[in-house]
Amino acid sequence: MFRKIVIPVSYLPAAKQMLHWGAKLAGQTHSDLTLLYVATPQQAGPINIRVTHEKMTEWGVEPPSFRILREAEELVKAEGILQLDDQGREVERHSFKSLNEGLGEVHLQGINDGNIRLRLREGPVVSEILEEVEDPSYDLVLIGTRGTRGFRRNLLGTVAQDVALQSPCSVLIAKNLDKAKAILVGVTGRESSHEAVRQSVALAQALSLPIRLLAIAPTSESMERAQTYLEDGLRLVQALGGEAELVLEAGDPAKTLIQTAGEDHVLALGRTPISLMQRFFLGDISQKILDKGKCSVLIAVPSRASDSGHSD
Amino acid sequence: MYFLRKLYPWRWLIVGFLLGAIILVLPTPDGLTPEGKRALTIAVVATLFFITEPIPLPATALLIAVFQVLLGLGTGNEVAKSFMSDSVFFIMGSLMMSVALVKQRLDRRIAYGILKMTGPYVSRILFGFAAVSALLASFIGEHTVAAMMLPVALAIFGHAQKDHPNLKNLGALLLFSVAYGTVIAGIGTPSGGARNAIMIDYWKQLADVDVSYLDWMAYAYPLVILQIPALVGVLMWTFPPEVKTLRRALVRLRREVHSEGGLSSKDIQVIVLFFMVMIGWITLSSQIGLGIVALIGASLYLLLGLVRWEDLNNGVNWGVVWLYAATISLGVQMKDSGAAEWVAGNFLGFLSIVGLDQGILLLITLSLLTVFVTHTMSAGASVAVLGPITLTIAITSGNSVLATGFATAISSAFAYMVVAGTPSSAIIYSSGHLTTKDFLKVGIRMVVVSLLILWLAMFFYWPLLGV
Repeated sequence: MFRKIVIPVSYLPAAKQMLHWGAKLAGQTHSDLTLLYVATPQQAGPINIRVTHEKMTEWGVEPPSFRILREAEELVKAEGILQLDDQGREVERHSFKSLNEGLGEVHLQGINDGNIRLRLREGPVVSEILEEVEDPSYDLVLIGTRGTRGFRRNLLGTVAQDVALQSPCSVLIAKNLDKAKAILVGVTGRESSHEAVRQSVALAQALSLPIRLLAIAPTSESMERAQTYLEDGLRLVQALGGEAELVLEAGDPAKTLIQTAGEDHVLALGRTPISLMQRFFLGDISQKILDKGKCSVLIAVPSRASDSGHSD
Repeated sequence: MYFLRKLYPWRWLIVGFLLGAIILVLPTPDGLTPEGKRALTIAVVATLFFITEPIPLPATALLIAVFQVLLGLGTGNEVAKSFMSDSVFFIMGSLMMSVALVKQRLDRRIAYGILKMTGPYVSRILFGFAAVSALLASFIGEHTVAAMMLPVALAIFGHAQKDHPNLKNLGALLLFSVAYGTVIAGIGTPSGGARNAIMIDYWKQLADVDVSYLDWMAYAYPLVILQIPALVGVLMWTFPPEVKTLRRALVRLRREVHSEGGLSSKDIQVIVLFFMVMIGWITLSSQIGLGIVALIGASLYLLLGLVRWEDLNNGVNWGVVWLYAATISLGVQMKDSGAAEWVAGNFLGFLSIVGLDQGILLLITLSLLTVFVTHTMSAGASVAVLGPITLTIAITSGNSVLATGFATAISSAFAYMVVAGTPSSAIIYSSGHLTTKDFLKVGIRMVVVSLLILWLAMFFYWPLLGV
C-alpha cells in the first residue's frame, strides 16, 4: 500500500513522535522513507549565503539544516530501520552532499532493501514540499503541525493544511499522535472513502491499531443509507484481511467527526473531489476538520504509481 | 475563509498597485509637475514593495524600469542608460572582488592572527574580532567579512562548547562581534557598502559635488574607530559571558589552523592585488572613476586565475546589483521631474513649524528618520529612497550637502535591531544560534550609541573639516 513516504522535519522536539511512527510504518510496509528539510532562503545579501555555508563546511561547522537532518537520522536509526555495517555505521548508497542550488541528498540503505533518504531543499516550505511529492512514487506525506493560534491561524492556515489540500498523494497530519489508540475512518460510500478504508487497513496493520468505521447520517431519513455505507466499508476491510468496529451517528458531518475522533484517534478521510472554484470559495469538510480537530488526520488520495515493486 | 487565505500572500501587491492607481488619478497638487507625480507614484509603490516584499526585491527593480517607460518618464534607451553608472560598476566590481576574497582560505590566517594577538580572555578576543572585522570590512565590504569570519566565530564557539556545554551568551558575543564589527565599519570608506556608492552618485548627479575615496575616509573613518570599543562595551553589557577565558578551546583551534602552514603564493597574490585596487581607489578614482578601478581589479582576479567566473557568477547576488541600479535611476528621476524638490519642500515646511529645519537639529532629524527607514528596508534602498530628498532639503534650506549626505549614508548603516537590517546580521542569523529577540535586545543599545557618536562627529568633528 505505502511504498514511499516523506516526512518533512522542521522542529525536532515536535517531530519525534512523527519520526517514530514514520520509521515504524516504513519498516513494516517495506517503504522507502525520505526525511526532508526545507530551508527558508535567507534574506538576499549582496553575496549569496551559500558562499558562507561553503566556508562553514571548510571549518567543519554544520549549517543548521544539516544539523536537523542529522539529528532526525539519529532518531530514525534508533528505530532499527537502517542497515548498518560491521562497525555500526549506516551504509551509504550514494550521497550528494552539496548546498549548491539548495538541493542536497544523502541516500542510506534501509533494512528490507528500502531506501532512506535525507534530503535538503531550499525555498518556500509549502511549495517545496509539494514539489517534492510531485514525484509520483510518493504515496504519503507525514507532516506535523504546530505554531500559530487564533486569528492568524484562521486566516492563514498552517503549512500542514496547505500541503494536505494540495498534495497529489495522501497526507497524514500528525496531531497528538502519541495518544492515538485507534483509526477512525469516515465512510461515505464514495470511491474516495473506499481509498481511505484501504489506506487505514494498511496503516492499522503496520502500527497494530484497531479500526473503527464511522458513518454519519445528516438527517433521520439517511440513517439507512449510512448503515449500508458501514456494511460496504466492513466488507472492504475484511477483504483486506482486517476487522473493524462500526459506529453510526446522526448530525452535522464535520462536528460529529471531530467529536467522535476526540484526541485519541487517527481520523481517516478520503479527499472529496470538489472543483477548484468550490474549494476556493467554500473550503470542504476535511479543511474544517484540519482547522478544528484535535487528532491526527489522514487525507487519503489514490496512489499515482503502478503497483510494481519499489521505486527509486 | 479559504478565499481570503489564497489572497493573503498577494495582499501587498494588490495594495501597492491600487495605491499607485489612486495616486495617478488624484489631481496633481500645487507645485508638483505631472511628471513629478508619476515619478513619485513609482517611488511610493516601490518603497512599499521594498518594505513588504510581496515579490523578490530584484523584481521590484525590474518594475521600476518598466513603469518609468510605461508612464512616459523616459524612452527605453534613456531609462536603460540611467540604470548604469560608475557607481553601479563599482558595486559590481566590489562584489566580484568580495567573492574572490572569500573563496581563498585567508580566514584561516586572519583567525590565527587574531588569536595570537589577543590571548585567551573573552573580552580581548571580542575586541580582536570586532576590530579586525571592522578594519577589513571598511575596505572590502561588510558582507564579505561577515561571510569570512562567521565560520571562525562558530569554530571557536564549537571548541568552547566542548568544555562548557551550556554556553549561550558566548555564542551571541562572538557572532555579534563579527556582524556588528563589520556593520560599524561599513560606513568608513566608499567600498564599505553599496549605499556609500549610491550617495557618491547622488552627490555628483544632484548637487555636482565630487567626493573622493580619501575625502570619505576623512569624514567617516574616525567614527569607525570610536565605535569599536563602544561595540565591545555594549556587547559585554548585553550578554555577560559565562566564562572568562577560552584557553583550552584556543589551543585546539590554533593547532588546527597552524597545521596548514604559511601563506601560499596564491594567497599573497590575492592580498597584493587587493591592496593595489585600494591604492587605485585612492589615487585614480578622480580620473577614471571608482567603478572602473573595481572592474580592473575583478578582471585581474579572473585573468590571473585566482577565481573562476563560475564562482563569481554563483557567489554574487546579481539581483542586488539590479536593485541598486534601479533605485539610483529612480532617485535621479525624482530629482529631474521635480518630485524630490516637492517632497523636500513639504517636509521642510513641516520641520520649520517645529523649528527643526536648520543646522544640527535638521541633521539629527534626518539621521533619526534614516534610522527608522533603514529598519524597514535594506540600507542601500534607504539611501536610494531618502538620498534625493535629504540632499534636496539641504540644497533648498542652505545646509551643507556633504554633511546631510553623510548623515543619511552613515545612519542608514545603523539597522542593528532587525535580522534583515544588514547582510551581516542575516549571515550570522543563518547560523541558527541567535533569535530575533537577541537582535532587538543588543540592537537598540547599539542604535543609541552609534547615533550619539554620529551626532558628536556632526557637532564637533565635521566643522573642523570645513563643513
